[in-house]
Amino acid sequence: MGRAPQARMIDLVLVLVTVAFFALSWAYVRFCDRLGGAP
Amino acid sequence: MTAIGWAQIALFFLVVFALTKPLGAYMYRVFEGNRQPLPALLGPVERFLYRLGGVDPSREQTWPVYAFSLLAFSLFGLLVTYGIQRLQQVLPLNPQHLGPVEPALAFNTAASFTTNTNWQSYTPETTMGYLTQMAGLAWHNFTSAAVGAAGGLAVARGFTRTGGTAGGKTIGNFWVDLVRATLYVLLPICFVYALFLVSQGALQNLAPYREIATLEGVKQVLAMGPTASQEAIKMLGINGGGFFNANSAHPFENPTPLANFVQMVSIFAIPAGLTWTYGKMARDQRQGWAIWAAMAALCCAGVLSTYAAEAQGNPAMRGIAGLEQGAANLEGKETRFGVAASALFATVTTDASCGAVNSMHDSYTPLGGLAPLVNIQLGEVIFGGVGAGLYGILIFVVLTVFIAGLMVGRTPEYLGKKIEAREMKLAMLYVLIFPLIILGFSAWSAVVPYGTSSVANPGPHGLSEILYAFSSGAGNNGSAFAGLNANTRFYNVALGFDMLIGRFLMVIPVLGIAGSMVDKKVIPAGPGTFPTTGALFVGLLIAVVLIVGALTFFPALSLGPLVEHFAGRAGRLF
Repeated sequence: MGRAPQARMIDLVLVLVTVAFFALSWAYVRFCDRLGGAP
Repeated sequence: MTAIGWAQIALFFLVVFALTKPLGAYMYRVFEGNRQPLPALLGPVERFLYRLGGVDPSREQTWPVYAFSLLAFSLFGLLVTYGIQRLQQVLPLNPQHLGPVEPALAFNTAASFTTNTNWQSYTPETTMGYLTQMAGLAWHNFTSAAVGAAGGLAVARGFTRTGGTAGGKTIGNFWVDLVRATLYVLLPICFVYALFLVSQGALQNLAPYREIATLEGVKQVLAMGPTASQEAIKMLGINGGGFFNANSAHPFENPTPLANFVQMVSIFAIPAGLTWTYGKMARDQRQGWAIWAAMAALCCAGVLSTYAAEAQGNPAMRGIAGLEQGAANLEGKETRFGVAASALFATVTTDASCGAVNSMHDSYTPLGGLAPLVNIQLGEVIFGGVGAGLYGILIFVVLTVFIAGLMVGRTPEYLGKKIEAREMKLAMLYVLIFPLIILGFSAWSAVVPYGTSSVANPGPHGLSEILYAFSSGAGNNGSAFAGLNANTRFYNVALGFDMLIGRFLMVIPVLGIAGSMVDKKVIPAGPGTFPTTGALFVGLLIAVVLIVGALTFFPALSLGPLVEHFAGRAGRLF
């Protein structure tokens, strides 16, 4: 694989992973929102 | 240690103290007042920005909506900055014709500036074009600080409000906080600040780099650029990312001792002011001053230990003719600033999650370098980042009143609101995630070849370098211990996530606490209420901050700087 296509592939992976991190962060918001009090 | 050194340190604290109330009052007017400053000039700009973004400024948000807005804005900024770096070779304002930034480095840098960390795995003058510096990085210098301020204000509202405006559960409007922090606080102060830095000799141009002949007849390239304007927000926004690789040790960034002093003060200015703003919001100024006092005491302890260690110098240098250095450790320090101003700068920048440096922390004595590392590991709550310092210390306040409540067998309460199981669970998520990522990433890096191959100094100093890097990332500080080549694919990606987790997965539970506290019923203080304004509370708060930090990181620190210190006394250097 040439350098340019490889860099484009890494770009894609990094962007997707970043978006996934923020999606997980939103899931974390929902988790914290539903966190209950004392059992 | 010298009298002039002590005088500089004392003057620094006096100036920060003097600035706290006026700046705090100004910020209260900006964020909580009905009439913002300069309405004729900035009012139309503010309203235009709301119209542009389709924001109704009168509509407040619940904590999940506030958090969503914060996350969405940060994701957008991160992706745009990544794109600018990857495409800078075809974008304007690149007179040096710098090529695209390598993908992992671009990710690291975008994550770094989005999270207000400003960790720099690259040499700015040979990597980033002017457009990348101004549109990509400086944009984040303003907005990431404003995002932090928004987080701090939201949490302050959660604790201090006695019932939200819409349904009792709202903690403000993220977009309003973001715009007001940028427009009314950061931009006007930075405008004046940049002019001051230019008056001191800081660079401000868009010229190509210049080639000059040195006195020895050697040709040298002098990097140019819009330095002063970036420098102002770098310090005030507690970002810390240098326009040049040498950061505030570079004479074009930090030209004079006066500029150096103002830079240190500007790091603490907003976090100190926010404690006053918080006291005003709580309708009890003593609440804000109690937090200020705890922060100042911890800062004093850091300055004392760093200055003492650096003034004593390196024991291995003693007795060697010509290397005495007046006993103090001047390696890696600018002689124009000296030991005291370097030790103070190192303490302030690591207390406040700034990360700017005017000396090289890697060249500090083991104990001198230990103090900045501990400052970061205490959670960046000693004044801390813009807003982030306030919400960080408020979590420790929650822990403190909880512990005090356990001691006397009463339900803990703060500002008349009960601290219950839900708040404690969220506080624990905040407290635990910080050491988890620092120690987890550090352990990983210390045992794999692609981690250890970047370490310049083997042994305990190498462990300190790794530990410092991940502490700096997670604490959104951004200063480096140097000696670690972090510009590898592994470190760029690992530190990128270290910074993202340290910012967003920590602010979320804090906002959750704000949402949980905001509509709680306020109980009048009774004889059994633990007062949160006196010396006893301040002392207990300091103890909780130290104990949580010491318990978590002491084993790792004992294998790094502490071992190095004792080995150095025995004549073994790393």
